[in-house]
Amino acid sequence: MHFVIEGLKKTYDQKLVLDDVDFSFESGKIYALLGRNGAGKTTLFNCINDDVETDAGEFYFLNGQKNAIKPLDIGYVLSTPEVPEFLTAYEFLKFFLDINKDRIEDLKTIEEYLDMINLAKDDHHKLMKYFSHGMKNKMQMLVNIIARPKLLLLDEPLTSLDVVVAEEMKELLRTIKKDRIIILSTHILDLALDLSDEIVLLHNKKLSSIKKDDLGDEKMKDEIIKTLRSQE
Amino acid sequence: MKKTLKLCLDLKVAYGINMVFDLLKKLPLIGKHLPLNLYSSYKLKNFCALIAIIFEFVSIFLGKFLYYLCFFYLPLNLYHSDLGATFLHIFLLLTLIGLLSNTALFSPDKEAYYAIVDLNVDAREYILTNFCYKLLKMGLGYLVLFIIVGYIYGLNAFYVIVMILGVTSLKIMMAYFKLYYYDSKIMSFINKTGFYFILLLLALAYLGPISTKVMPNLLVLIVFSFAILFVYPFIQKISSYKHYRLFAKRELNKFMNGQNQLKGLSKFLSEKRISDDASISSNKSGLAYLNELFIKRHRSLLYTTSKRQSIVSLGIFLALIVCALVINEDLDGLRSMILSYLSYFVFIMYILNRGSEFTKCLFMNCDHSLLSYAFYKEPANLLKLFRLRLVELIKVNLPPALSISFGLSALLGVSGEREPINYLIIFLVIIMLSIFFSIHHLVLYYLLQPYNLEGVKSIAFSVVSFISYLLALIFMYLRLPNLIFGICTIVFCLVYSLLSFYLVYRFGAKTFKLRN
Repeated sequence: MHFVIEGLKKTYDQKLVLDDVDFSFESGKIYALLGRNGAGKTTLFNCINDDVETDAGEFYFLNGQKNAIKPLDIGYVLSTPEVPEFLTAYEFLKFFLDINKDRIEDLKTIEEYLDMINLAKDDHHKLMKYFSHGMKNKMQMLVNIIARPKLLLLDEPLTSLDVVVAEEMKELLRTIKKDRIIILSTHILDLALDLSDEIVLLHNKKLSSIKKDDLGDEKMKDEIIKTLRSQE
Repeated sequence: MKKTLKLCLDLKVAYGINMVFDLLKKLPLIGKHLPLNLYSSYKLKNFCALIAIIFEFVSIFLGKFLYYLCFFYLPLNLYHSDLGATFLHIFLLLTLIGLLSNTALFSPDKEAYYAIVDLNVDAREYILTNFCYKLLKMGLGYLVLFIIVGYIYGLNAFYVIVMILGVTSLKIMMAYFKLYYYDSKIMSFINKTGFYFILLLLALAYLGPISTKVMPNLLVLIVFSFAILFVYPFIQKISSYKHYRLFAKRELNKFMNGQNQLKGLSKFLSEKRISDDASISSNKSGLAYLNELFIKRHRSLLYTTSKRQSIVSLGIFLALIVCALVINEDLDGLRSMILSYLSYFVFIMYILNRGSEFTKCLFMNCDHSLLSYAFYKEPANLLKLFRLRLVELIKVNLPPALSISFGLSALLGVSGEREPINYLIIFLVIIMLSIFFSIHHLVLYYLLQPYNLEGVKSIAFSVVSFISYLLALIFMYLRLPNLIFGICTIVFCLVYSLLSFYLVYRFGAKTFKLRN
C-alpha cells in the first residue's frame, strides 16, 4: 500500500508554502520529514489531515487501485500534546474504547493499554491536567495507535521529551510500523537518521527523498545540510 | 515618571494599532487583498495612533457619562425624593461597590507584561505611574460630569471637590489594602462574599430612595471628608512598598497563565475549576460518559452564575412585590406595564443566557483537545454530542428562567390580573426564550466554531453575535399586545430552532473544527 500526494498546492497570506507537491510513501516504513523552520512541515500535515483547505491537489491510498482517505485512516499526533484535561488517563481511554471498540482488532483491557506506555499505576486515575508534557504525549500517542490508522503523522514528536520517554516512544514506533505508514516531522537531524527508514526533505516548497542506504550517516548529514542551505 | 508614562502610552498605542491591523487582515473579502507589509506603513500607524489618542481622551468622558446615564439619570426619574440628596446617596453606595469590584493598584495585562518582563521597566515606577494616570483620568472624568450634574441637582463646587477627592482617596486606601493584605483572611473573605455585599449595597442604593429614605448630605460629606483627611499615610505606605517587582511578577504570572482569555473566561480559570472531587464518576458509556464527566467536573463553573441569577431575580421580584403591596396604588398601571413590556424580557433573557460561557468552556477544556482526534470528528459522534450538550445547556439556563417566570407571574397576580391566558403566555415566553438562546449559542458554536486558544477568531461569529445583541435590544422597543407578542415569539423560536437544527445536521460536521 502507498500513500500518495498528488499536485498539492497551498498558499498562506499570499505566500506560496507548498507548490505542486508530488510524493508517494510506502507502508511498513518510518519517514522522517526534515525541513528548516517555517518550511511548511506542519502545514503539510494539516493539509493531509484536512484541518486546512488546500488550494489544489489530492491524497489517496494506492493498493492496486485508488482508495479515498477516510478521517479514521489518519492518526495525527501534535507537537503540543492535546488531551482532555478534565478526564483521568483511565477515563480517556475508556471513552475512546467505548466509541471505537468495534473496529479495534485484538482488544485489550484499559490497564494493559496503559501499561504499554509505562504509565505508573498511581497515574491511571489522576486527572490529566496534572500530567507532565511527556505523560500527555504518551497518552496522545497511545490513543492514536490503538485504532491502528493506516497513516500516522507525528509533528515534532520527541523534541521536548526526556531521554527515557523519548527512547520508549522510539521503541513503540518501531514496533507498530508494520502495515502502516509513519511520517514524523522533525528538524533534529540525528533523530531523523536514528529512527527513520527514509528521509524526506521539505525544501523550496517541494518534497524530495534521500534514501538512507545510499550514503553513510556523516555523508548523508552533509548532503542534507547542503541541500537545505541551497535556495532556489 | 514622565518617561515611564510615555513608554506605557506608546506601548498601549502600538499594541492597539497592531490589533486593528490584525483585525483588518481577518476581514472577509478585504483582508486577503491587504499587503503583507501593512505593519511597516508609518503613515497608517500615525493615523491610527491619532485615532487611539482621541479615543482614549473621549473614553474618559464617555465612560462617566454612560455611568451617570445608567446608574443615576434613569433611576432618578422614578423617585420622588430630593434629587440632590438621592444623587449623593446613590453615588456614595456605588463608590463602595466600585471599591469592592473595580479597584486595583495594578491591572496585569499584555502591555504590563511587555513593559515589566520584556523591557525590564522598573515595576514600582510602572505600577505607580499607571495608577496615578488611572486616578487622574477618573478625576478628570468626574470633574466634567459633576460640574454638569452639580448644576442640575444644585450641588455646589464644595460638594464637587469633596466627592472627587473623596473617591480618589477611597480608591487609594483600597489599593493599599490589596497591596499589603492580598493573601489575608479578610481579603479572601471579601473576595468570596463580595458579590453579596455588592447586592446589599445595590439594594440600599436603589430601594432606599423608593421610600424617600436617603442618607443625609452631611453623612455623605463626612464619609468622603474622612477619607480625604486620612489618605496621606496610605499614600506614603504605597509609595514606600519594597516588593513591587515580586508583586508585579505574581500578578503577571496569574494573568499569563490565564492568557487564553476569551472575554472574561480564561483557560486558567476553567482549569482551576475542574473539580478534583475523586467521587465523581459516571455509569454511562461513550459520548454520554464524556458529557456527564464534563458537566460534573465543571459544575461550579457552569452553574454558579445561573444559581446567582435565579436568587437575584427572585429577590428583585420579591422586593417589587413588597413595594407593590406597600404602595398599593396604581396596581392597574403595574398590570398593564407588565403585559405591554414583556418584550423587554427578550433582551433580559439574552443577557442572562450562559450559552457563551458554556461554549467557551466546552472549547477550552474539551473540544480544543479532542478535535485533534479523528474519531471525535466523525459526524455521527459530533451530532450525538451536540444533542447531549444542548440538553445540558438548557438545564443550566432553566433555573433563572423559572425564577423569572414565577416571579413575574406572582407580580402580575399582585397587580390583580384575572386572565389565565396571560399567565400562560408569560410562562411560555420566558421559558421559550431561555431555550431559544441556549439553542442559538450552541448552534453558532457548532456552525462557526469561533475560538482558538487566543480568543475569538471568527469575524463572522462576532458579526452574528453583535446582530443578535442588536435584535434583542430592538425588541425592547417593540410594543405589541401580550397575546400577539407571545404567539409570535413562540412561533419564531420554534421555526428558528428547527432551521438551526437542520443547519447543524447538514453542515456541523464540516464547520465544527479547530481554527489555526
